Amino acid sequence: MHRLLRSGALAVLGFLAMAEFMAAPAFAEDASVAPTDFLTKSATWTSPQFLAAWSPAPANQTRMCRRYRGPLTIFGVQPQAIQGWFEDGRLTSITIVFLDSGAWFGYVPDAEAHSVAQTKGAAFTTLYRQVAASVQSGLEQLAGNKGREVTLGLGLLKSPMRVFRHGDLASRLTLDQDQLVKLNIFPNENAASQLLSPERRAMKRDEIARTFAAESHTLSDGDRIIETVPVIPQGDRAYCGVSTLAMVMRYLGVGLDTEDYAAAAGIHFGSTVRSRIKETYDAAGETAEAHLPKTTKFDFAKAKASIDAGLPVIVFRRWSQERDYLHTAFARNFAENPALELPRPDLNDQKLWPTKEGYAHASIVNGYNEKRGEVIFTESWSERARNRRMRIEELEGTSYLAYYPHF
Amino acid sequence: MKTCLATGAGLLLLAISAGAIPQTITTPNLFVRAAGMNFEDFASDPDSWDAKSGLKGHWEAHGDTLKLKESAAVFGIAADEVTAQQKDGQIQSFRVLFLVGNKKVGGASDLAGQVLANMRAFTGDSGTGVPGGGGATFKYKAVTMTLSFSRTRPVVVVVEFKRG
Repeated sequence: MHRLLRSGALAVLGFLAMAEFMAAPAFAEDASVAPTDFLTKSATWTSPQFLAAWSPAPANQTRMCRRYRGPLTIFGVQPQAIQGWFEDGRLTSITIVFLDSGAWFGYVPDAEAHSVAQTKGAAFTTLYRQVAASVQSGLEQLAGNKGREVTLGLGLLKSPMRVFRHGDLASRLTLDQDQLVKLNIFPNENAASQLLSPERRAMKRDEIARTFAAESHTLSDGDRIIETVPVIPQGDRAYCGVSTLAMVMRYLGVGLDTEDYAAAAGIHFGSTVRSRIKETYDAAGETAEAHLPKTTKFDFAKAKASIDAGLPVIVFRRWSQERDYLHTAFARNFAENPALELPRPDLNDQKLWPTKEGYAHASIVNGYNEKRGEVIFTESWSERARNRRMRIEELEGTSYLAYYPHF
Repeated sequence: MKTCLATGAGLLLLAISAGAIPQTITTPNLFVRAAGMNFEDFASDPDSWDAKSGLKGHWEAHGDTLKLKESAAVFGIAADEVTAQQKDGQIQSFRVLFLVGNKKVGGASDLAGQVLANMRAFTGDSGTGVPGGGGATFKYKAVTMTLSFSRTRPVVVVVEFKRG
């Protein structure tokens, strides 16, 4: 619902999103903690003032992505976004997106990709050079050295990065030419030099299977659900395919961000034209040390097996605003009245489903209720778009690609 | 053969490039910006019609009929016209008009079906059929919402919001 309430011209929405981000400074009244201490002092990460500066923690979530709410200037640059990764209430790493092509350009429809690149590409390239130089220089000063080069990821995700140590913290700098300037902060240099989480690295294969299977629960109403996939809002960027991937990969213990997958896929200057989503999914599977088989249509039997194993499914499907309204409104009312039912998937209802002319969209299927004939799905929009419901037949009828991770 | 290959390559590019939408892709809905709420939420709450500050949004008067100047998506579907009927300066009802066109799904029954399905989702109620068929009525909060549609050209789907 929130998504629709914020509707309007995309440019206006981009402004509103930024305005929301530019909320009042979080530390203004606390002189004891300098705003950028979190780059060098691990003690800052547990300070109540610093923790209060993040967006509220969603209820009942153990693994979450929260947004830093205050404006900050770091190395002379005001980042586009700062995200904190929390596990059981503990801040485990911070992602600072200084400049992302998708966020700067916003959503660029295919038909406008060429003209937008022609008219605005040079300005972005100039900005990229300035921001990259400023961040790199600032980081080198902070660390007192030029850092250490590491190459992480596999396939399309294979990329050189620089690891720095500053104070009792460490960071990993990603500079992707004319695309992305990003810094990830970690508690130590070892964590900064790896993509898999320490927990994942410590597990043997059978432990991995057991651990994820334990994330899948059966509720009293018959829902079989995985509730711990972190939601990463994609913003007004053409990033649903890569944001859903980032959400599932974070769940699987891969410490890459939406912007990394977008860069690997070649979602350039706000456009998905000629992007390599499928190859990026393949690379993510390799990086996660997981199998990521796909089907060209959502297969409920496979999805059920995957969810029972605690592994969420990513589905690419046709989408329309009209049908999304129904799912949004139903989710809101269902929360208050669980006796409500979705429309029966008869011929009359099928006429209302999005067709091939509809938009392409990616969602995560993180649950099902076989008795009700429903899948439970989550969007890369906000916590409010978690655990929506759709008839199995509708997802089968509107999907064109689905990924089922397994180990 | 060359044509086939070119067409195939074009389709492949289209398929690959169509892998994403932004978070807020919607039809123009400037009423939300002006009013801070969806039109159906506003129209379902007569207390907000009586607000001393005046009607939310911007309206132009044509006698006792007021016409909404902003675009609005109502029940998730772009409305072609939104009007209010007033008497003695007091709003009596709202009327939302949807015209069947290329931007909408299929024919008249599809558009009416889409509006009906979304009204059901919005209210959490299946509604009651109107006598003679061709529509439905919903009691929701303090209003009655009536869906009707014509079977003659120009084909239109109408939703009316009235007190009570």
